[in-house]
Amino acid sequence: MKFPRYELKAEKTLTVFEFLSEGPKGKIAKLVQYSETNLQGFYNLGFGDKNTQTGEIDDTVITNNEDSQKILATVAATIYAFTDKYPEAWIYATGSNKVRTRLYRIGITNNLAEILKDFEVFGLQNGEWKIFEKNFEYEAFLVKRKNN
Amino acid sequence: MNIKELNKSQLPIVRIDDSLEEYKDKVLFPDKLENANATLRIIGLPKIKKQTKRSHSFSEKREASYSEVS
Repeated sequence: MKFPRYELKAEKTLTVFEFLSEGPKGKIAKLVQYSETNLQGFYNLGFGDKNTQTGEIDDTVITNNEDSQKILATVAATIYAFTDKYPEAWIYATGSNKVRTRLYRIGITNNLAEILKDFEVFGLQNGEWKIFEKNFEYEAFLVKRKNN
Repeated sequence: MNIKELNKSQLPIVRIDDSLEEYKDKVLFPDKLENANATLRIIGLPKIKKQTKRSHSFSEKREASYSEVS
């Protein structure tokens, strides 16, 4: 099932994406960046609000534009786009706080069947990576595109 | 890909915008990246299930290549 999502733009290497969230708080630019970690082939997924005046990025602000599902679907779309270009990449993601991490967990849980068609998903629990399962809390997530 | 396949696909249409080039070589979320590096350094990688003798050697090779890089 495809969920509504925002239009995406990116630079040529598809490591930085931008989209415009629209809601009661107006139009808010959002950036998603895939940054390679010290481990080759492993990328951190970062996501936050862009201040269009200063160009600064903030991943801790609570915007509350009443479009969190659409935003999650849009960020998920960037994972498809990025891993389509870099099929061997691993994506590491966690929230800027526990509430956000839980929001991501809920998003994965609610779409798990669909996600598992295309990705392996692991969750970090008690210092170990475990295969992602519903109804468990995780501190971070690691996903990899399946080579179908 | 035809229109039907495009509509079914999860792959989004992405417009290339050269103005985003300025962010390409910057780390926009340094705290997050530092956290990711620390986690991967301390925790390591998922242990990929070894199902067959053939996949066992593949996962060993992949784990070996990761440890060489780190």
